[in-house]
Amino acid sequence: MLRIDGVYRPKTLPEALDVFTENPRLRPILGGTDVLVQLTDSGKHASLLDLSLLAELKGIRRDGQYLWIGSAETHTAISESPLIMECAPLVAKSSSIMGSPAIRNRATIGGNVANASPVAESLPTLIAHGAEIVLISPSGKRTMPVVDFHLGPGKSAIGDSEIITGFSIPVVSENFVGFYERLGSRAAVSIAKVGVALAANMYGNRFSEVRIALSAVAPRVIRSPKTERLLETHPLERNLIEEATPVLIAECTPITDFRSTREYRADMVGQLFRMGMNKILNR
Amino acid sequence: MRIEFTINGHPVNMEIDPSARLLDILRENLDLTGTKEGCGEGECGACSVLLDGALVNSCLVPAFQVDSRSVETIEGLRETEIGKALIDAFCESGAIQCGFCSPGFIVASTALLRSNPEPTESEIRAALSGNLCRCTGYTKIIEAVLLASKKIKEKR
Amino acid sequence: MAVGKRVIRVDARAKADGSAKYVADMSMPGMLVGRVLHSPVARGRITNLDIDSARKIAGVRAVVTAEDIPGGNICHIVIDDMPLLANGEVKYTGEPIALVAAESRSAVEDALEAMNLQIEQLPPLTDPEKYADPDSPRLSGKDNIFAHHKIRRGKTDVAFGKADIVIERTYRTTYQEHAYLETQGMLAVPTQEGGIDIYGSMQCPFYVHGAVATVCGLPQSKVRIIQTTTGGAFGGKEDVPSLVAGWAAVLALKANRPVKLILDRSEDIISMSKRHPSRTHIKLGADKKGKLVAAEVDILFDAGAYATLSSVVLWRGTVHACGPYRIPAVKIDARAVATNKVPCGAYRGFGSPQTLFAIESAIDELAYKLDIDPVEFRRINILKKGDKTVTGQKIRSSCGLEECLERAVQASDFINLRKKLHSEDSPVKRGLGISTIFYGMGLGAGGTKLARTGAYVSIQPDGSVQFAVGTTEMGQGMRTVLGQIVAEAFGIPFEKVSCLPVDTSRVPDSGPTVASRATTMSGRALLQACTHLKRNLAKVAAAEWGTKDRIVNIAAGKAIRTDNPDITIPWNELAAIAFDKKAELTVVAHDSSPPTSWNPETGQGDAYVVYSWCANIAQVAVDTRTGEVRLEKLWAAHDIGKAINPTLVEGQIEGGSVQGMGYGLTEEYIIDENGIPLNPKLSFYYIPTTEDAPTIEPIIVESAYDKGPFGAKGFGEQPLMGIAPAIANAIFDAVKIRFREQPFTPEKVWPELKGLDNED
Repeated sequence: MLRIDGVYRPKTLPEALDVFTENPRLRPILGGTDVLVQLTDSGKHASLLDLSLLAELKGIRRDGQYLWIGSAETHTAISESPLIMECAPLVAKSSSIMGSPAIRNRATIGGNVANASPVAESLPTLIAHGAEIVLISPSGKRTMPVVDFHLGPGKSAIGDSEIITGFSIPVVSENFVGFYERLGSRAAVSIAKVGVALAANMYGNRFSEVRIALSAVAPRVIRSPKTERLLETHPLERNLIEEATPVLIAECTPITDFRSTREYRADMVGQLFRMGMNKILNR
Repeated sequence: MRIEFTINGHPVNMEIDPSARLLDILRENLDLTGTKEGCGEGECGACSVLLDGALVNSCLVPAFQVDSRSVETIEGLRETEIGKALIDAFCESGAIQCGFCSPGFIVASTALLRSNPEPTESEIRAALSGNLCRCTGYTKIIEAVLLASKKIKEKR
Repeated sequence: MAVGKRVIRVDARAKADGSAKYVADMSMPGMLVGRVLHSPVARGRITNLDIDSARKIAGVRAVVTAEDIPGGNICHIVIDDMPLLANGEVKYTGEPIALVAAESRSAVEDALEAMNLQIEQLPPLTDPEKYADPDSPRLSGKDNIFAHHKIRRGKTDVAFGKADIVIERTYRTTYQEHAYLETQGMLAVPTQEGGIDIYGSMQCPFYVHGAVATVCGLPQSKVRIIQTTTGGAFGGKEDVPSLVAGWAAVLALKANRPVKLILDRSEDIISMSKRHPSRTHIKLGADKKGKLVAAEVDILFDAGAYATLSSVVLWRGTVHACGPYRIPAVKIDARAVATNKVPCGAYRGFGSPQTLFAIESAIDELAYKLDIDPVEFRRINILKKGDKTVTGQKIRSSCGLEECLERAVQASDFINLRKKLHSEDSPVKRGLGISTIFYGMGLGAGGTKLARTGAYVSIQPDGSVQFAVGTTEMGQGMRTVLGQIVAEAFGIPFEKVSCLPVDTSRVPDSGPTVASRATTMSGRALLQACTHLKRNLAKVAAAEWGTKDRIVNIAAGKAIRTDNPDITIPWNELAAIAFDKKAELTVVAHDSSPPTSWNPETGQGDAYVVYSWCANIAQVAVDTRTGEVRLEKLWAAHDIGKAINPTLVEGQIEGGSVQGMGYGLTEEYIIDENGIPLNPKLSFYYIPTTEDAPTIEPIIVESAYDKGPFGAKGFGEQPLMGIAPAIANAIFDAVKIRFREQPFTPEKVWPELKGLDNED
């Protein structure tokens, strides 16, 4: 059962940082879809820092060549935003797949990333888009690539009394190509077994700036530098896809658990990659 | 802690435990037991309510977060035009068996018909994908939503 | 006329608008919260349980362990081996150890923690195939076998010698979790006279009645069970509610306060019953022309830690193990064995989905081996009127299997559709699969002791009619269907009839609401009561007319003179007169099932009073890139004797089929080798969603059962039973790969597909 001893509900970011600094053991909460389940399961006592009233964490806007998504934006807002569909389409797609409609109305992108699950739906697409995460603490703001933020299951680079304010994502160019393919355990409302996101620019049949992010095939969501390099250095044709697939599979280290097997996950990384690449090839 | 919010259009002001979920205060403090607990982890949709008009799982909403907001439950929605049409259609189509999931389905379907009065079958399937039913196999639920949509349109 | 009509369910509106009260929605003055301490390990000895500390927690009003149970520490089901609370040792993860009732949920939780449960672990037996290993612990009796059933018909060794083709295959099935949306729960209320009233979610109030009286040490006359609106059951609320009610009852007596005890979802999944995992080995032979000549079947069910219903579940599995086919020589051995896992019990189909998966797959395999179309192969071998089942039972009437098969074939346009699907050029391969199955309606020879029903019918002075039965509504629509039967019996409008809630103090023991028996068996008792009342009404009318009773007919909602049909008394007037004349207008009728017979040594006899029949045709899509299988379309034809309410019949077909699809494709409950469940959550146990559900075409076949009400025979379980094999057979049709272990998850399908050409 839930055992929440107390809640702070700051109205501004500076107030939130003050409270958090004084009480570094507070558990931040936004939509609560992960936090409530985890606290219920653990049965442990906790006090919460409710960030849901902070206007500073809201907002979807374009600042020049960057798209800004506030950490408190819900997956519904993200999946329905024409701006995100235009500027960072894979992020819109992952938010549209995540959970159920009711969950998407509450769960936030900041919460999804903070939860640091290797199966988090937003992580692979943010990473493929080259997103940076913006964190704030009393000692100031800092920014890091999302790929460096995620360290392992439930582990992230978040510091003491630090709050995620949002994500800065380079707006895709007109030469953008990409995909996010994932597999779940049933047709809707299921956690990803495997996810493959790829974002790149394409000039004729040449890739550049390829970023591939894989979920659920390693303790954290990972990039695959060897495959990215291979794609960047060869023209896109059917052979390249076949050549790149085993390279990509070799870059992941999936495990067997009750949701899937190591072998299946590895093979599916290859299959999802093929399916996505074929769409680019045949576009 | 103290919170104030509107429930089905009526203002309420109450003292809550910080551990209380929206589901708990609805069922235990306000005696609105049409909202059910099926799983406690946002997976089944039996606890569906509307929070500021948006479909949510009340088992995953901390009660303190509904302060100054508006909550609609089955007890309120059953008095609305869309809610009534849906209830009639669910009855007529045979979309109800054990009934434990039914209020949640009516709530989720209300959210759908408010934003999309004439949904297609696939839009209905998508909108109701977070509501589990173990009895009906969903066929008659989907038929019921289509029927309610048609009936509302005819009436307008 | 009410029978055959699509009347709206009597309970629909209250359920849809949220006003129906389930047990969790009830409250009583002074009510306490009850909870259970469960074993976190599969086998061990309890070395510490600090009751005193738990009692000292503020707000705690009762703590109960095995020692504090006022009556017997036993949950009676079939064999008395399962305690209400573990006594010194635990045998499965989730086994109940102690109970707490307190003023608040948090006090209860604190008390459970304060008990500081310690268990000295012992090595568990988790692999049922090792039940006889000398190294395995002895969990039950000398041999770990809870039940062994046999069927011996003809000489299989001789018959196999005459077969042209023989196949031998092994099939496996895993757990299925009921996942009823309402978890188990009970409210126990001590009465002023020292007795106890129980309100709760259940299928079988008379099981609960006996169990509560036993654990409370009370005479049965002081125990009353009232079923509350029940949010799904599917067999999962057959036997285990006796445990839950027992827990609530002993807590309520100890605290002398009402106690409400509702299980959390994970707690419910971990500690409540499941469908038995199974291993079925089949040897099946046919001649060149495609006639089945012999079958040998060896069945093993993983029963879990206690016997519960395993013996009877296994019996049904045994009787259904050769499918609805004529096979002259048969030898079946079936065993249910003990393991340190959750006791398995009843689940829609009751042991038959496991064995039907095996036989329906084997029939398909043999058909392909013989190079005979699987539909044609079934045409040759299915049971028809006058044939004998493998238990030697002659099918005398009500046999609509052939019609089911032909109508499903026709509706799906089987031959053309199959050609079309096979000609598609896509990485997604499609195919059609078929299953033909049957269901022995009612308890049959395996449950004759329980095969009774009672019914209470009361005509009110205003002409409305109240009735009550001892079988239960759990979502299937029984209250509505029985109301239609009563309305039809009198010839009055359906709206005049109302069904009272089930209360063990109102109606006689009606046996369990299982085995798809409620419509047929309660329907029979109701018709008896109605016949009796009609006789009474005829007497009243005859007296009014000054004629003899025998020239009065009660029909079409009035008394009619048979010598002059123009002379009538309308229903309401008749009721008013009858009331005035102090006629007997309330009766209780008793019915017992038509007879069955059984020889346990040979497994020969009339196993069931009648059979329902079914043919499924499944269209699946196999994604050869990912191994994902989708059931796209299903044609499901069911012979149910008579559809009292076609909408409700379709509801059973659609809902049961989707549960069967879950069993075939996504539902996998995993208990590891240490006996620890890995996914006891709805977020990791995948039941179908709206997006998974296929298009279903229900086909109703009505081959009347002469002893059923208006020809009806029960069938609520049947829709689930044949889906997994139809899917397996369709997968084979699509990709020519045979899967012999359900569920057919991509993790199993993909490795077999890997070699195939799977280019886009």
